[in-house]
Amino acid sequence: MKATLVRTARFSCGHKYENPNWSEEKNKNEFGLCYSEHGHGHNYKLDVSIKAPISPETGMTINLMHVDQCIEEVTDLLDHKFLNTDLDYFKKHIPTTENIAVFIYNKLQELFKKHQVELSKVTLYENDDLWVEYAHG
Amino acid sequence: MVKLCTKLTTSRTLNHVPTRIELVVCLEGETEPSYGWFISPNHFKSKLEQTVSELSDECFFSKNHLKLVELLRKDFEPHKIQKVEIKLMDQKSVYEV
Repeated sequence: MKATLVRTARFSCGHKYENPNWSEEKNKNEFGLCYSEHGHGHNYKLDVSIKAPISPETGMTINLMHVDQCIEEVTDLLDHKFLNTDLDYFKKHIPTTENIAVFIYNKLQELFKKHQVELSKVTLYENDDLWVEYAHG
Repeated sequence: MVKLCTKLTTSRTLNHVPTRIELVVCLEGETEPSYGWFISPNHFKSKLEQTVSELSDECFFSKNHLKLVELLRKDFEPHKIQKVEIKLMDQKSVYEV
């Protein structure tokens, strides 16, 4: 019998939207206020969903301690960072909510492999009224 | 494929009672690398607000919300409407003489 465990985490970081191949005018037109010299920040909320069988020995899908360790390992990379310059990944990918969710998913998937559980999806809330869900495939 | 979701609240009249409605809509699409998104979140939100403002009360209170889904499909083509969720809050009945 499989169950889905959802763990919530929070982190804060800054970013700006910019495509370096575009003119300043096009960046302004497409990204509006998100294209500004000093960027802006968000307090992100992250829901990590893990699907796994319930162990008859522990009654758990995965030890929550391991879940928290994996999530912290990833959120520590992002927390209090300016994504455009502090992380190589976002030098090649515009740090939109979509791309941050994909980044988190890929990192977590690698980490959860060790614990033989399946990462079913990540949901990243930029704020109460805008969020992204990502699951591979 | 990623899903981009937004939530908006509106107020409609049900049986003469103003009723607060929470609407969640999710679109599904493939991120365009040069933008980092498949649709601008601001465009998504403002278009949705506009469509909702033009909708009749009946659209919200019908059981299957088909009219709303149909309109949203047209609004956001070629992106897929992945979810439309309507929650009625503060709903109450009124007795009138």
